[in-house]
Amino acid sequence: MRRFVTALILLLIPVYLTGCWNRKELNDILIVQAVGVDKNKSGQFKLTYQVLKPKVLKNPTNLPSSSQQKGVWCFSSTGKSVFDAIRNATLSCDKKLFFSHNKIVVISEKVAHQGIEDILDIFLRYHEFRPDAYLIITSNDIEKFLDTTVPIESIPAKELENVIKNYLANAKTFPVRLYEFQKMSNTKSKTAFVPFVTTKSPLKQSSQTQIFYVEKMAVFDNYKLTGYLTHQQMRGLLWVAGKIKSGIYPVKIDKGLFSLELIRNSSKVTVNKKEGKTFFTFRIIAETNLGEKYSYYLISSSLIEKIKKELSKSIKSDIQNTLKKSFELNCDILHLGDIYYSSYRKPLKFDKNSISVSIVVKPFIRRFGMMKE
Amino acid sequence: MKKSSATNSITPSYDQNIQNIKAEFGNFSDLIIREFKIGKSNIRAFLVMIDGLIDKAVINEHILKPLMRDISIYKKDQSTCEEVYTIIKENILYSHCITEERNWAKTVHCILCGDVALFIDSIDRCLLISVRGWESRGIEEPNTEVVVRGPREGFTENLRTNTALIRRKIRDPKLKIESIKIGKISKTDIGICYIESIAKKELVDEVKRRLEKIDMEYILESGYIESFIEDGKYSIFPTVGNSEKPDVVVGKLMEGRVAILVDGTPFALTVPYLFVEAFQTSEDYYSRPYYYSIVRFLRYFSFFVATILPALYIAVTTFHQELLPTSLLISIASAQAGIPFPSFAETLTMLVIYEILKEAGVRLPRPVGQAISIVGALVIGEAAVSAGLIGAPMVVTVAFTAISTFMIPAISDAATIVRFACVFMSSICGLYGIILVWILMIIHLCSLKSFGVNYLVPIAPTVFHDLKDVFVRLPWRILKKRPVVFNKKF
Repeated sequence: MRRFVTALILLLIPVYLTGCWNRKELNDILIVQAVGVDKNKSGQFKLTYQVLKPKVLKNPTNLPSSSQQKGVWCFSSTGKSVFDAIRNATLSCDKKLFFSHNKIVVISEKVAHQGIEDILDIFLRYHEFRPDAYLIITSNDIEKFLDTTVPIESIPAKELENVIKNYLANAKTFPVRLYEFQKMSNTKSKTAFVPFVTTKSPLKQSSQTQIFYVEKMAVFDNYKLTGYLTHQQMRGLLWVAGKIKSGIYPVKIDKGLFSLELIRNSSKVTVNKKEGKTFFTFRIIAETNLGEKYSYYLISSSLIEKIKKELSKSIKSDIQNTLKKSFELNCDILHLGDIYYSSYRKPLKFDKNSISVSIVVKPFIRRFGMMKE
Repeated sequence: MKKSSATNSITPSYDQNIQNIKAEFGNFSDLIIREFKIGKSNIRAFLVMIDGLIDKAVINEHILKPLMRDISIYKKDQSTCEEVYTIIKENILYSHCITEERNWAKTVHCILCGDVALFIDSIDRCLLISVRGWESRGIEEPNTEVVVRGPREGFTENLRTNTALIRRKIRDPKLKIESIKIGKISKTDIGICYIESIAKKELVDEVKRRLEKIDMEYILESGYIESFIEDGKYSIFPTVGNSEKPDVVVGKLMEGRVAILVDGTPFALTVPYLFVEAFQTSEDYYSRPYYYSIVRFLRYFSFFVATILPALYIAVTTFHQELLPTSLLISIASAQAGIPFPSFAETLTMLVIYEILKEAGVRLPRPVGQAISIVGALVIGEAAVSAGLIGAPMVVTVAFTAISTFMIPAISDAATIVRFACVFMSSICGLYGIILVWILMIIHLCSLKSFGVNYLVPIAPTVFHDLKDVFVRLPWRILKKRPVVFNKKF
């Protein structure tokens, strides 16, 4: 019996060694889906939270579509620091905020211009936050942005997440998670990009609901917002980074228009140093399908050659565009510095005159579709 | 009991014997003493028997009739009692089993077992004639082990029938059925079955040693014996197997196990019993192996589910909300919204209600059982959810747990206890608690032995030769070699 009691005590000791002491019922937490960071006029941080309303979501067959039946509600709190603001939220809401399911971190453009390194610190440091939330910049008022009523999902954050994940099909934007942003900013080139999202009406007529629109990509140089990339420039960036999954390239030849769908591709960047100048070579292989054709031209091998040529031209011009923007903003968006560093172990002198870039595109058209002509 | 010299052995005196019988049995309402005279002679004799245990027709036709009439064929007037006795023993009685007995106590015991004792005047011994014949249940399909494919016969309460059922499947003299009696008052017959060339001798000796050590006044069911011979005396896991089907028992005998048959119950015990046996059924071996290999996996999975699922629900909803995918968390949160109880109380209530429903359903007559299922399905399932007392995911969890328990009937009671332990621990410290319970359980399982064989064998220690019948059931071509675990030293 004594041995049994001793064994029991010994077994109960490790119970206190666990980190799982913070028992909290589902009814005692507010599940945050998105959080927005802004600063008010007095320079204090103002955080806005999009929080689930489980009771409204209760009946899954009867999902709310009208604005009265939104599955979330939004509120905000202010504080001297981000963490302070988060805790100040408990002054006005009934339960503690639970951030482990946070999907989106929205930062206002205004704040982003001043630098977001300090803001992101808590999101990456504190154990309850997930570093895999998506980072987003907006010029809209944060409160309004988060309180948007979206047409399909009852949780706007979910819809927003889906929208920015659609890059897979368009290759014009790229979703960036917090840790990815941190990783990009911590490279030699110190640049990162983040989707810039605004809201717009789904139709021209006034509508109660709003939809999210990824307008452009924000460029951060050393955690500071410095400029924007258009969709074309972003595409050039994705070509260099090798992150293109699929997208449409409309190619114009005389009066005809051909839409090519990217199916597979690869890109390789090499760097050479010659006479004080640095030569970068981008080798890109693009495999496409012909998806659409507006012309009376018959498909012939000479036409195919022409299309291919046009395709490589437009890919090249996308990359050139990005490069031009990069020099314009004077920040290494294409992360050429990293490529250079990995070859030469030296920082790259980012200067328009000392860098020369050549692009080699190898285009293929694999299929011409089901229609004979 | 009378302590005269007469009680130790049978006396030659006719009257003394009758007196002794009456003294021994007292005023037995079912005791029959039939006095008569043998043939035409004047030699007195009497039969003693217990009404109900004997076959009346046999006694009338084949014992009384020859004794009273046919004996006159041997025309020997005025022969001595001794001569008459010999003639009766050798020529007259039409019975397959006759024993001569001098010992008084043994005679009394045999009468109580259903023999007829023949006492003849001035002979100091009696003849015990076996005419046992009492009402017993026929061979039926057992309720506990219903099969789709396979023999449908089951053991009965009669030990002889049961041994015959086993003997019919193995026609080899190496199949030994030894008999001992256990129970100081009940003197229940126990049969120890084994196949001499397959079962290890040490095992058989150990079984006999443990059975002989049993000190009990009565044995009503093999469960009594099980509790005396099992290794893990306070373990929640069974270390003695039981079955109601002769084919299952024979299968185990053929693998080198020993079976213990107990008179009065259709449940035979088999030892050693391994953990993996709980996941095997007779049908695995009768059907084609592929599907039943999947079913094996499902059984192991069910054990897992039956032990941890409700605990996992508590852990995930109260400690580790970040573990769930967001959409799943949202549906659980929305179902849980407005439930007045904490998850732990909710789970415990549901589990207890389920156990009550199950137990109530088992004992009730069938027509009332329907009422139970209506109460269970409608009131607990539907009404409690719509009244907002219990969340729908909780009902689903408990229902799935309950169904999983039925996949592994042999260790369902152990699984239930482990489940409650997991629920308590997970409500204290989440997933960590569940793991703690499982670690304890596995340590315990590793330390268990059943008649010298490690309980977890062939998984741990691993015996590759026998793994072919653990997680999958390989075809008989591969399986035909007997398992080695019972003959191996670990």
